Amino acid sequence: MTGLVTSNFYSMQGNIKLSLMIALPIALVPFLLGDASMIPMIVAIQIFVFASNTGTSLKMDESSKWNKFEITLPVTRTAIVSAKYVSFMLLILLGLATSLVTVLLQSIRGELSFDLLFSGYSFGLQLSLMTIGIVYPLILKLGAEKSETLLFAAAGLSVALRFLLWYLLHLSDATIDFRSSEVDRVSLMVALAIFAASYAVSVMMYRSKELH
Amino acid sequence: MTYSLEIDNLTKTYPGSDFRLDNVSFSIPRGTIMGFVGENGAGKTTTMNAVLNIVKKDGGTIKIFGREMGDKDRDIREQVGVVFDGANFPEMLTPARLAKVMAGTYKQWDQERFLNMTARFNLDTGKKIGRYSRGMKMKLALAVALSHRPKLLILDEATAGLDPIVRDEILSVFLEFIEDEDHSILMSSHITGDLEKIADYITFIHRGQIRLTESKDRLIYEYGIVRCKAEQFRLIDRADMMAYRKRDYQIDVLVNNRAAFERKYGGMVVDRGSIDEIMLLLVKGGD
Repeated sequence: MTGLVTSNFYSMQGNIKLSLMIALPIALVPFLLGDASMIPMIVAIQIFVFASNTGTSLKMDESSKWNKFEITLPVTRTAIVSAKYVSFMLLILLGLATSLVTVLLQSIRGELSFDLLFSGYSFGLQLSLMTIGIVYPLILKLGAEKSETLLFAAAGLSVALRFLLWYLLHLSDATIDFRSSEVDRVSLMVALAIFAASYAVSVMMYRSKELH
Repeated sequence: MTYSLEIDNLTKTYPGSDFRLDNVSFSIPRGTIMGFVGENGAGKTTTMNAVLNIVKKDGGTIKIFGREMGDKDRDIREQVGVVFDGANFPEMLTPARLAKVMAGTYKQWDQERFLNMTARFNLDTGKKIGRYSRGMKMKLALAVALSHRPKLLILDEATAGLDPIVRDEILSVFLEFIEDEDHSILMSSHITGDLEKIADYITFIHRGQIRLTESKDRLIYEYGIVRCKAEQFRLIDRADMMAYRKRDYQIDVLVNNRAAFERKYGGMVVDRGSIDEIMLLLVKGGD
């Protein structure tokens, strides 16, 4: 599987550089403006901007027909899907690592708030895990050609799911608002469940997938 | 005789398509090259895809080195080298990086062999694959396929679109590969001239059905094409014809034993046929 993860990483390398060019400068925004309330959004964007590379790398694999060649390699189909999910997680980790620049800058200003950071990380992780969890099986089913559209749709759906979870929590406890830590925690747990379920579904789909 | 690949009654259909692989059967003896010939859409690529588990077969059996290859049979895949029409490697990779990917995938990956092959083919291993010409991509695909020391090469239109010099270079690599009697090649090609040069056997497929599998030498030296007029054609016993094709002023008849035919029907002109002519008769002719 090492080879497959390496291949995925190389496929995403160009976009990772681009993501860094976006994610690093925006770390300066709350630092320069002195507005700590922006931190959750900035951290979430920094994580998601890496996760959003998923579609591009899958599209490149499909256009070069590497996904067809991959099946002829001495690996199981499950290993191919596993390598994709490991690569997705590495992307998210890169996003997390980049967001540490924001944390570092805020700590220099002395305005580090655990609640704000938790909110940012949980939103970024929820958005990334849910989006990838939704989009990868859809790409397997519909093809990577529409990957950008599917990615945007999946991201929209992830945000909508967060609203739905907040609404359901709000029904049980009227004091819970959209920014409550309960919403963060539950959304993150649901996102992890969707990501795990997505892996299982993708393995099942890929085992019976035919490439031409 | 032991076989590298045995295909028996392979069937495959696609939803929403009339195409059907219809009980395809042929085998490749170890140490030989099988040319796989047919018109576009005849079923060559589908057959190869089924062999490689890229598509799921509906029925029949496919044995590689005597075993049916399932998803978990990585040891069999280690021994199968594949070259598709168009190479199929990520275009942003360089061959040097591709080698790292392959080294992390194949247990038998031989980096030294890869470097020797790329040097032999004059491939710049630091250049992105996307910037390679078609010929260079095919050479790279071949270098990759040979660098994990396979025993069976499956080549789908590996020489298509290449100039004669590059084709000749690649064909000589195939011939070197086959010097080891454990090695075999299944090679589909529209360029039947290439197959005439290197193949030991030829399998003709037409509309998903195998029309003929025969040794190349028999096709060239024993088969023949009778060039006859309508009145001569009427004299030929149908049992002696494999296929025939009416042309403007003559009828071409494919026979599988030129010498016997000439003895039986003295006076008729029987030519040696090329693989191309035989394919045309099998595909376009009646029988």
